[in-house]
Formats: sequence, structure tokens, C-alpha cells
Amino acid sequence: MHGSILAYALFTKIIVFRSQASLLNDEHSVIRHIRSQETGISSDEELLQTSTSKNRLATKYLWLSLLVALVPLVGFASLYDTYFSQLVSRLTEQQLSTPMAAKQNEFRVFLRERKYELQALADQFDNPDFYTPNGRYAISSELEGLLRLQVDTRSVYGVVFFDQKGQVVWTFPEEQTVKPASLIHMHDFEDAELIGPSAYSIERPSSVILRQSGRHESSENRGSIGLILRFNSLTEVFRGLGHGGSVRVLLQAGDDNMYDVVGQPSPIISTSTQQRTLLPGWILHVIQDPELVMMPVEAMRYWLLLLMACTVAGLLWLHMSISRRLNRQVESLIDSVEKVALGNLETPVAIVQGVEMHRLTQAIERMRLQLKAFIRSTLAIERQATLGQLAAGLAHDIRNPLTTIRTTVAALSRRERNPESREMMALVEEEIDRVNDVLENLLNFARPRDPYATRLDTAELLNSIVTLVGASARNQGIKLSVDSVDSLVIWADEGHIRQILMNLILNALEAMSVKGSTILLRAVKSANEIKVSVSDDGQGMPDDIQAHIMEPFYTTKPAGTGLGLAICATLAKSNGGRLMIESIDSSGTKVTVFLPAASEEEYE
Amino acid sequence: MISRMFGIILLLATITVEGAELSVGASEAEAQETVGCLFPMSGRGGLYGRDSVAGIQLAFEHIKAQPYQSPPIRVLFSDTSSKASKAARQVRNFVRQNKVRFICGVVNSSIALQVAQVAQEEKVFFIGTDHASSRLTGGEPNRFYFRVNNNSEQSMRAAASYIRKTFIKGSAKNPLRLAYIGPDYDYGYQAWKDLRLWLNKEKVHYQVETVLWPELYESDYSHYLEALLDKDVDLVVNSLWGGDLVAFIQQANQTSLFEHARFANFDTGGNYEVLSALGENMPAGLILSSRHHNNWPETEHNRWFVERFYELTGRYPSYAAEGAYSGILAISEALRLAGPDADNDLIREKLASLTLTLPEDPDQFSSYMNPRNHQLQQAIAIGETVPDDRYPPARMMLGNWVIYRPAGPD
Repeated sequence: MHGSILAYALFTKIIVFRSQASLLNDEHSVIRHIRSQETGISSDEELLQTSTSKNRLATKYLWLSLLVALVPLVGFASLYDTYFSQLVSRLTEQQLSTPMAAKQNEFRVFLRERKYELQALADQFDNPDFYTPNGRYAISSELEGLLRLQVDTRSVYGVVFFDQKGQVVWTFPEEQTVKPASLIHMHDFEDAELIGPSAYSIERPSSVILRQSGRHESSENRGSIGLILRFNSLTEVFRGLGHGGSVRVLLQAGDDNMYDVVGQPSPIISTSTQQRTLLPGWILHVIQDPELVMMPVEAMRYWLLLLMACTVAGLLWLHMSISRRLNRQVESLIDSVEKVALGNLETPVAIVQGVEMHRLTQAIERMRLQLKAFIRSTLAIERQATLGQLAAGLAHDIRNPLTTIRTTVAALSRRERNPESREMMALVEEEIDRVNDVLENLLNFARPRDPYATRLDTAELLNSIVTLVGASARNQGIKLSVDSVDSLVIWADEGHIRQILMNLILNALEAMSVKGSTILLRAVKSANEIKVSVSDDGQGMPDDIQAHIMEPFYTTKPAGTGLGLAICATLAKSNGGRLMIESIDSSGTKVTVFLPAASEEEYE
Repeated sequence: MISRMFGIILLLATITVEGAELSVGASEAEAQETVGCLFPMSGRGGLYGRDSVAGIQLAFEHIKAQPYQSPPIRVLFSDTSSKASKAARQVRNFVRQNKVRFICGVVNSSIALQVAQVAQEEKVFFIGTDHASSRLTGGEPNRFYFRVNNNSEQSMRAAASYIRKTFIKGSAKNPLRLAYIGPDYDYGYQAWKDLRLWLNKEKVHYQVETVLWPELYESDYSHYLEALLDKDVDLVVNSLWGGDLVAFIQQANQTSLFEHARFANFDTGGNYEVLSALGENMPAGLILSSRHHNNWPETEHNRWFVERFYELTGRYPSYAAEGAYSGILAISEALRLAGPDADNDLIREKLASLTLTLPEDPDQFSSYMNPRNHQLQQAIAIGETVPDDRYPPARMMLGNWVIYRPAGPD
């Protein structure tokens, strides 16, 4: 009964120990614990990430800066456009009004001068016989000379004589004919009449007739006289109004048709910029020809708008490009930081280009490495402390009772006559010894005894170890060889070093149960250290196992405790050395123990 | 240089000033007949008068060099100042004061119409040497009017043939887009009328885009150039002449008109006066013609005329010189053939059947009078302006000739 209680207590302790050890086994488990606590936060972040990119800082910056750039630009363009249009309109109106008045006067003066000439002629041609179909032959050579003098004026094509009914009776020169059909558009000009213009024809230019008014006293008695005027002389009066081609000048003549300054008929335009009545039925139109005036303005406006659109597009592209790049860089940083935050301290932070971003990534990378070292160091300390407490507890709570049990079982075994019982008790003793060994190992790991350093010749050491394990190796068909020179002497605790090397060789032998044929023990000097290595050509280890192989209680063997290498590392460290494992999966493993070389002065 | 100086001295020596009037040829006492010539001697058309005087001087040299005796002729000159009233008055003065039987000259067609009317009234012969409106030789012939230079109808007949031959366009489906700009007086109207008449006869299909009528002696053609540039045209036909044509081309050079459309002046554009006045500013490739060319035909008679004119005056002749030369030769020849006491009817008969060999006649061709309209029939040469500095200050002369004889083109 008492034994069963002890066994239960031992089992319970081992379960507790296992559970604690399993907790300590993997630092990732700690991180996972942290991660589980952060799950709520992570889900919030994911929500933020998926909630659209519009809340990103770079995106906000993009739209805000665009707004700041575009609102003044659009405002400026609109104001400038309005101002420019109004300016052109005002300038044109102001520039036109004065010359239009001058041209109106010039037009009237031209006609008035012709009217005076007409009156002078009428005074000379005072015989009613002149106003008959045969009047041409009734005039004297002096009067004919007068008529020739009159038609020498380039703006006067000829002179026409009308009878009392207003019918044309003859013209001078006679080839200058007047068609009755051209006498339909009559408009008063002071005390004369302006008739025409004659219908436009491609054959010859149009003419107008300035005739004495029918109300004139002399006309009632004898007929009237008229000057056949060059119509283009009237249109040419307005040539100076063209403003260098910026406006079109049209004369609405007595026939209600429009003519340009060179006498070409022009389409009737319903609206004109400005118009001025020259005399009844004759109107001057000045038109801002959209093709001549507004085209350059419109073209300028379109260029302005195009420039603005290009600016907008350019800004948009620039901001989007910067925003995308910033987003990409920040995203990369966030990913790296999130990996660290989620416990992945192995993946290096991706380097981002750009001076500031590069510095930031470097800083985060340094932070990751420091955090990684800190966590490992903290875990190692905690683990060591926990194991120390555990080992002390085991020593007190398990080892002492076990000693009692062992002594009791031995005593009982000696008195036992029944061979079967004695055999069972022997098994109990063996198991108790095995438990003791485990406890011994645990204590060695948790609280290794202080090393007692001596000068150790590596060749002697390695050869003696080979002698010890040579038989086992040979049984497995494995060749165990030593490569060491005599002069290599280390300064370390012989027991510790032997334990380390034995552990390593036994591990190698176990690893070579499937594959491999050679174990090589080698000692070489490197600076102030001596590297003692155990190499095998066994099955090696994959990277994931290699990453944890040094951790206590980590084992791939079904019956292993996972303390072998951890104890080796602890013992090497207590002797001022360190352990390094290099393994290639399916090719073999090499474990190197770096130990301090003994100096000449050091002695036992 | 010495011979030129001698020539000028000789010219001055043979030109006498009687009162306010110039005279050339026989003295008043020796002269069998007196001819009164009307030319503008001053102002924008003054060169025409001066060249005509020199041309008449050459005519006397030519007559003198003939193996037969011609009746002595005295030529009086009067400046019309390009005014019809003055020209008409001068005709009457010539008739009444100088007993002239022949009037010659007159550059402006409108003035010529009135001069012809007065000459008819005064029953003196008017030998036109410079004006070209076909009105005077169209319809019923004026019994006292004869013309010894090509008229607008002849020039435009050749022009229509040239257009039909040279321009790809002109079919019913693809009509020639035409613009016309001519001086706003009878010559401009007649030239345009004649061109359309002969384009129709030559069955050239055309479409009139615009017709422009700047006044004579216009100084600013910018609005007319704008109007021409405003239209899509294939050919601009221009019938401005003298200083007007020079001013037009100078101003057109400042625009893209000559790239915008082909440019042609079929009656007077190739006048040496225009070529020399423009010098290096005359563009190449313009289609021009004239009533006389210094570089065509390359006959002995033409070479003598041009070189002798140069010796006398120090400049090359415009077509006015050859027109006046022809006029005096025509009067001299008619008088010689009619005899010393011939009446007007006989003289008219001789003038109407006249044949003259003139500087502008190509080899094996002599100008001849058409008795039906009293218009001398002559060959017409149309060419393009090409670089040629043989007649400075002109830098462009006509080349790439196409020749049209009265019976039709060569």
C-alpha cells in the first residue's frame, strides 16, 4: 500500500513535470498564447484592412492635396476666363464705337460731296431739252466736257438724266447703261435720293445712283439728273474698321442685302456686335467674327482648359503614384511588423527602398532581432529557474523516498526465497535505478555541479572514450575513428567532457541505426579554442528539428527524455565552452564542442 | 556706254518742244501729215508715255532705214494725265489747232472710248496703241478707229486655250474654281467677259468663286487678298496692269496667295515694266503674258528694237514702246500706200488691209489688220516667270512659252 502511494506520488510528479516541461518546451507556444490573447485585436485590424483603402493615410493625403491644388486652379481658371471674355468684349466695343461714328460721318461726307457735284451739274444743265431722249445731242461741247470731267472721278461711273416721270432718258458715257430694274430701292439722303445698289452680278460691279430728289423744284419742271456711283466706293469707306481682321464689317445696303468692304455679297447675319444707321435703309454692321476674334480667344480658352486638365491629370497621376508606392511600402512594413507581433521572429523584415523607409525597416529589423534575443534569453532563464525548482523538488520528494524504497526492496529481496518474487523485486530495483538516472540527469541539467577543470589531452580523452563505446559501435557495424594531435590540451572538467562526448557518440549511434557507417571524433585548434567534434554520416536532421534540438525535453525518440543535448550544452557552457550542431538531412550530423584551450601556466 | 549717251543725245535732238508740246519726226513745214499722240506722261502711268515717245523715235529710225520713201510725218504728244475730259479736249485741240488727221496712243480703255467718240465726231483716225478693251473693236467697226495692239478678247482667247491645255481641272465633273480680280473700269469688265466667252467656247468648265473690282490706282489690296485667300480656288486671273499689278504682287508676296492658287495675268502681267519694277520680288511660276516681250521672239527685228531702245533710253522697253512704234509704222505705211492726196476712205481702206512686220512677230509671221473689226491680228506668247537676269533690273523674265497665232495655237 505504501509502495503504491509512492508510485502514485512519483507518477503525479512526473505528469506535473511533463506538463510544465511541455509548456517550457517551445517558445512558440508562449507566442501562441500571446497571439490567442490578441485574437480580438487582430480581427479588428482585419476589419480595418478590408474596410477599404480609402482610410489609409496616403490615400487621404492624395485626395486632400488634390483638393488643395485643384480648387484654386479651377477657381483661377474660371475667373481668368470670365475676365478675359469681358475684357475682349469691352475693349472691342470701346474700340469700335468711335471709329464707327467716324466712318458714318465719312460715308455721309462722301455722298454729300457727290451731292454738291450733282447740284453743280444740275445748275449747268438747266435746259429742259437736256432731259429728253435726244438731250445727249442738245448739249454743247462745254457741257459735254463738264460731263467728262465729272466721270473722270473714279468713284463716278457716269451721269444719268431722268425725265419728269423719273424714267432714264440718256446716260453719259452712253455705254454706262442703267437698267430700270435697278431703280427700285430708293432712300432719301438729305435733299437727294440714293437709288440701288444695282443687283449683284459677276459680270461687272454694282452701282448706286445719287439723284436729285423728285421734290426738288427744278425736277418738277424739267426732270432730274443723277450720278452713277461706284458702289464699292461706298463699301470701301469702312475698310479701316477691320481692326486688322479681328472684326467683320458689313454694309446693309438699300436693297437690304449685306456686302463686305470689297463689295462681295455676304450672308445676312441676324446679330451683329454693333450697328449704326448711316442713312435710312443703309446700316453699318460690325461683327465680331467668331472665326476671326473668338477663335483665338476660344483657342486660348481651350488651351487653358487643356492645360488645367493636364495639370489635374498630372497631379492625380503623381499623387496616385506616390500614394501607391507609400501604400506598398507601408503595407510591407505593416506585414513585417505584424509577423513580429504575431510571434514570427524568424522572418527578416523586408527592406523597403527610400532613405526614411529604409531607416525605418532597419530599425524594425534591429528591434526584431533584439526582441528575439530577449525572448530567448528570458525563456532560458525562466526555464532554468523552473528546472532548478523542479529538480530540487524531485530530489526532495522523489529521490529520498526512492532511496528508501530501493533500500527496502533490496532488504526484502535478500530475504525473499521465492525466486519469482526475487526476480520481480530485482526488476523493481532496476526501474528505481532508471528513475534515479533520470533524476540524476535532470539535476545535472538544472544544477550541474561546478566544473573541476584540469588539463586534458584531447587525443588521450578521445581514445579512452572510443575504447569505452567501441564495442557498442562494432556491434552496430559502425567504424569509430579519432583524428587528433597530441599537443592539443583543453582546460575543462574531465567528467563533464566525457559525459558530453559520450552523449554525443551515443546519440550518433542511435541516429545511425537506419543509415551510416562512420563516426569521426576530431579535435582541432582554432585560436584560443579547441573544437572537438563528433561527426556521423547518418540520416541527419531536417531544419525544423534542428531548430529545436537543443531545447530541453525536445526529443524525436519514443523513449527519450530530451535532456541529452540540453545537458551537453549546459555542461559545455559551465566549462566556458559552447555547442554547435550542423546537420544536413539525409547526409549526417556534426556536433562541435568549443572548449577553452589550456594555457602553459594552467596546471591541475 | 558711249553709244548709249550718244543715243540719248540723239533722242533729245530729234524731240523738239513747240510751245508746251513735244514733237517728233518731220518739221511742221515738211510734214505731210501730223499725228497727235495722247499718253499719260506723268504720274503712275508716266512710264507708258515716255516709253511710247522712245518707241515712236525708233519707228522713225525704222522707216528711214527702209528702201522705199515714206511720207514725212510729224508727231505731237500730249499728256492726258489719265483723264478722259482732258484727252477729249486735247483731241479737239489737235484737230483744230494742229490739223492732225491721226490720233494715236491712249493707255486707259475708258479714256479710249471717249477719245474714239470724239475722234469719230471730228472725223480723224484714232490708232489705238495701248488700250485693250475689246469694246472698241466689237460689234460694228468704228470707221475711224484702228488698233495695233492685241485687245483683251485676243488675249483671253489665248488664255482660255492655255487653261484648257495646262490645267487638269475643267471638266463638267471637276470644274475649275476661278477667281477674277480686275480694275474697276471698262478694260477690267471686257477682259473678264472675254475670258468667260472663250472658256465657254473652249468648253472649259469653271466655277466662279469670287469677282473683285479694285479701283484703278488702288494702293491697298489687303482686303482683296483676304477675299481671295478666303476662297478655295484653283486659278486667280488678274487683269490689273502697270503700277497696280506691281503693288498687288508686292502685297500678295506678304501673303500665301501664290501658294494658295495659281496666278495668271494673260494680257499685261508680262510687261517688262512689271518685271523690272518687281525685280527679285517677282515670284517664279506666275502665268503671264504681254503684248510685247523683250526676250521673245528671238528675231533680228525684236533684238534690234530692244537693244536700240536700250541705247536710246538706258532702259529696256515696256510694251507701250512697241505699241507706239507699231502705231506710227501703221500710219506711215497706210499713208505710203494711199499716196499723198488720199482721202479718208482710201486711208481707211489701206489701214483695214494693212500688213506690218513688227518686233513682236515671230519668224514667218506678220501682223495683219482684220478689216471687219479694225483690230490688228498678232501672235500671243504666254509664259511663266523664270529666273533670267539678262534684262536688269528684272530678275525674272518669262519662259516656258506657249505660242498662239491668230489662227489658233502652234
